[in-house]
Amino acid sequence: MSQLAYALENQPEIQQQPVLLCQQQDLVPYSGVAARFAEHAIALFYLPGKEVELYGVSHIDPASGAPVMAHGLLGESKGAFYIAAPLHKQQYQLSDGQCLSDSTLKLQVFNVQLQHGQVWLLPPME
Amino acid sequence: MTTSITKQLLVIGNGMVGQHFIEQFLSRADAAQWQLTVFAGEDRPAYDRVHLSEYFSDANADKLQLAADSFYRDNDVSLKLNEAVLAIDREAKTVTTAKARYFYDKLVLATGSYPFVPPIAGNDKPHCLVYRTIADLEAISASSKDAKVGVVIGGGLLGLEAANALKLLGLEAHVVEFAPQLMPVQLDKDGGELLRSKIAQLGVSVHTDKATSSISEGTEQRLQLNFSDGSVLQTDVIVFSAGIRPQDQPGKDAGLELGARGGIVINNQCQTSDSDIYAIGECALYQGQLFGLVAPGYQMARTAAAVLCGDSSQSFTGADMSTKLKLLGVDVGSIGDAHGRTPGSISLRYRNDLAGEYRKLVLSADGKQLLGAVLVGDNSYYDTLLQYALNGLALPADPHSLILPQSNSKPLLGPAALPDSATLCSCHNVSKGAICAALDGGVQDLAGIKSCTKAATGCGGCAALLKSVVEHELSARGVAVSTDLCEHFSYSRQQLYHLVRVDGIKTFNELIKSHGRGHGCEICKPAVASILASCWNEPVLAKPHVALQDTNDTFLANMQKNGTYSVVPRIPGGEITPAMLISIGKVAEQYQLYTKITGGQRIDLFGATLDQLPLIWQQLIDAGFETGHAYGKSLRTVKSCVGSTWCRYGVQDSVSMAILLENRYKGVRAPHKIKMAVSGCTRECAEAQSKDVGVIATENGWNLYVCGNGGMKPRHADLFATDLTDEQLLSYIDRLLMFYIKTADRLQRTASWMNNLEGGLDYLRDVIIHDSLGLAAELEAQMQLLIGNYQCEWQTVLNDPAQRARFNSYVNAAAPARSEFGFVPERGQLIPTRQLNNKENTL
Repeated sequence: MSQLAYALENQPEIQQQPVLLCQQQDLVPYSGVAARFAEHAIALFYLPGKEVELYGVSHIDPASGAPVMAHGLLGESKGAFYIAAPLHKQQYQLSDGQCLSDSTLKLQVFNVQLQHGQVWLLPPME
Repeated sequence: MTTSITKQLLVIGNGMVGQHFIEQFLSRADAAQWQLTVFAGEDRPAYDRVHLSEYFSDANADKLQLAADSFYRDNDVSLKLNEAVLAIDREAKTVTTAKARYFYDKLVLATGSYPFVPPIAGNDKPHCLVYRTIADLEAISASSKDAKVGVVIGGGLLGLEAANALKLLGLEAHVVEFAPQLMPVQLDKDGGELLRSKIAQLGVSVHTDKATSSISEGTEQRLQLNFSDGSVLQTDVIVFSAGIRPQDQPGKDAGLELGARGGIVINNQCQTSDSDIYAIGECALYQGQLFGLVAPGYQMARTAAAVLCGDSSQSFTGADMSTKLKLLGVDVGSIGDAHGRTPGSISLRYRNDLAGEYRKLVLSADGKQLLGAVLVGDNSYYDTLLQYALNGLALPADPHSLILPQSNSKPLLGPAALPDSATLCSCHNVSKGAICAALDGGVQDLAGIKSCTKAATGCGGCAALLKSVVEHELSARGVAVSTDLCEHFSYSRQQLYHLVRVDGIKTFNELIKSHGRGHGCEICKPAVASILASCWNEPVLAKPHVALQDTNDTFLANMQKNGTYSVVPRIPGGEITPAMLISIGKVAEQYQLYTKITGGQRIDLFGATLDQLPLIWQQLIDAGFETGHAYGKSLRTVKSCVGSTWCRYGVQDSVSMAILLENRYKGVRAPHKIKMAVSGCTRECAEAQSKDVGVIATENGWNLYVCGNGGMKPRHADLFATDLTDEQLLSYIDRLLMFYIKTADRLQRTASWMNNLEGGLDYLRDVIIHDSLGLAAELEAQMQLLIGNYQCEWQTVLNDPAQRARFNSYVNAAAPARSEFGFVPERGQLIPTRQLNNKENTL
């Protein structure tokens, strides 16, 4: 368990205003990068040309607590996109963060959006 | 949405069973007619008490939480934390808390239990604690600061868990047990004795047959335990774990029927003496029995949820109290009538003090049925024995073979022998019949079975058994094993390799558009990336290939369990100058990298953060190193002995040959990793016969061995050709490797590749030596292309600012401090913070 993950899980701070995370050119097509906001580490996956172009999920691997999810491989099954955790290859759906192989594991999902070449973190959707 | 009036369902208690009830209830359609309100005495939502001691390994209570905070909100469950119920008024149908009064239509008591503290004088002194809740753990943790010694009173299952917790907190741990042995409920005398000696070896002092008469102030330590036999024991912390008592007070005050020794009496519908009030879990008493394990509690939760929704098909008719667990690392299992109390029962024992194993079977008088069992030291026998006991299966003629070690005739209870009624997963009550029904209903694999039946998603103890049942049933249904790479390509790796080469395909996108479908996955992307690299040897991090690589290839380093990376510079043939060795040492020291010599005669540096990798590699490259490809499916090392240069037995210069080979094939991408070795004489100090390519010197040249490996299934390499010249050796290895790269399956090492070639070794000799396919020249030319295109990938990255930017941990923030990843010192170096993974089934 890394101390980073510990800090993240213990201080869930929910922001009220949109926050500029980074620029579009920081993203890597069909792959992930990690961004930070306050205590959160967010993995951003960029799928240019797809129905949903940008996904944001927790960078912390729920199984190991290590900050590695942005480095997982992007996969697709029957049209739905998922991320394979780099350490032990559990698959997590990008749409809702649910782990496909272990119902007890779930990635936190962040409300991120691409607008005019910028990546924004929006307040969570209720 | 519903047209009927919303009814009020109140649940008192939000422990594991209470939480399971909520989930079971919500999964039913009728739940929509109810408003659910849950009262929790603690200040946090339900958490996993089974794995409570993990709190001490990472000090993170949130990881134990069973459902996300949003679960209650999303399902419209009103969760009242820190709001204990003070009274139930059955006439008015209300419950009262310190804050308000609530009406109910139906009420569920899931109040659990509380730890029993024996009435010993002084038991209320400071630092006298119990072990049940997270608040208790926090108190134990606080008490243990500045403490040296800790004592657990009670040598049962929870007491030993608590002793483990004290040990994890760094205390000298003792266990005091009233009975003459440990775990008197689950184990017999011999089992208890063995457990005692094993636990003592782990550094926990065990005191049995000790009654504590009082607790007084200590002289050396804070407290002193005074035993009835006159002896004493000084300690700083005392944890009582002398059993649990049902938390039946609310039911008692409300006038519900209780058992003589406590517990709220329920019927097989989990209803109490008031039919509008249900009780489940450890507070409930069914036919005079309390159930202190999680699985029976879950069964009650399921039953109550069903009955409340008008489904009378479910009932609770008692539960099996068999249990297996790992206590302080020692396997302990107890099944059914472990003590042989059934009249006329007979027993069979196996006791091995040398290996530290003990097993006992309790059989029916005719020896045909298994009534109970005790296991200490090795739980691998548990699953089979449990199935015999639970399902009343007829035992084999020689039942002792079930507990004898390594016996060839050990009759394994295969998945085929289990009846459909056999319960595989007791947490979620899934039978073999239910698994078969799901498979007949169209579920195709293990993952599908898990998500559809929930089997093996509770304590996980049945995972291995479930897997074997699913695999057996699938093959019985004639489900063919497909050779398709994945759902995106209906081709094997070999077929894809040909397509790439014949069509001159250079990118993944081209290939999936022309020969595949969809967008790819973690199976096909790295496989295709490796094929592209094997065919054209463009840098793996060139733009079109970046999104295809496994993490290790993406960052040209090996990811370790805490998210940091290890770095392995190439040391060809294991030969290194003192100056180069010092420069590695300097880098390792500067970045505080854990340093270890590998099995392949090089040096692995662990614990680098992503941001540090380019800095570290800049220094290593400046010192003259290049990447070692420890992260790639490619040549790792060519190990060598010192050879004829120094050794009085050596007949050839093995070091020079090893360096030549390593520099020739470094960076070539293959279906799997490749290892080589060169020995300077027949004494074979380089262990070349355990490698994919082994070279052993002779008086006249070199003997070539192929397709060996170590690892999980070791295989000696086969002698392929003898007395080769340097030139012959290189051309044979060129052809062999290239043929392997072209025709092997994804992640297939050379050994299984050759075994799967029709004709095996002889066929391979025909192709490589006698050129039976007329491919030799082409294979050599293709290998020459790969060798010619070699570049040090780390040098390439450092030269390109865009690629270098990929090594920033965060696109919008500074590099994280290395301390964020959690390191602790060990033998003078830094290693990752330890984690425990104790997936067993206790409450």
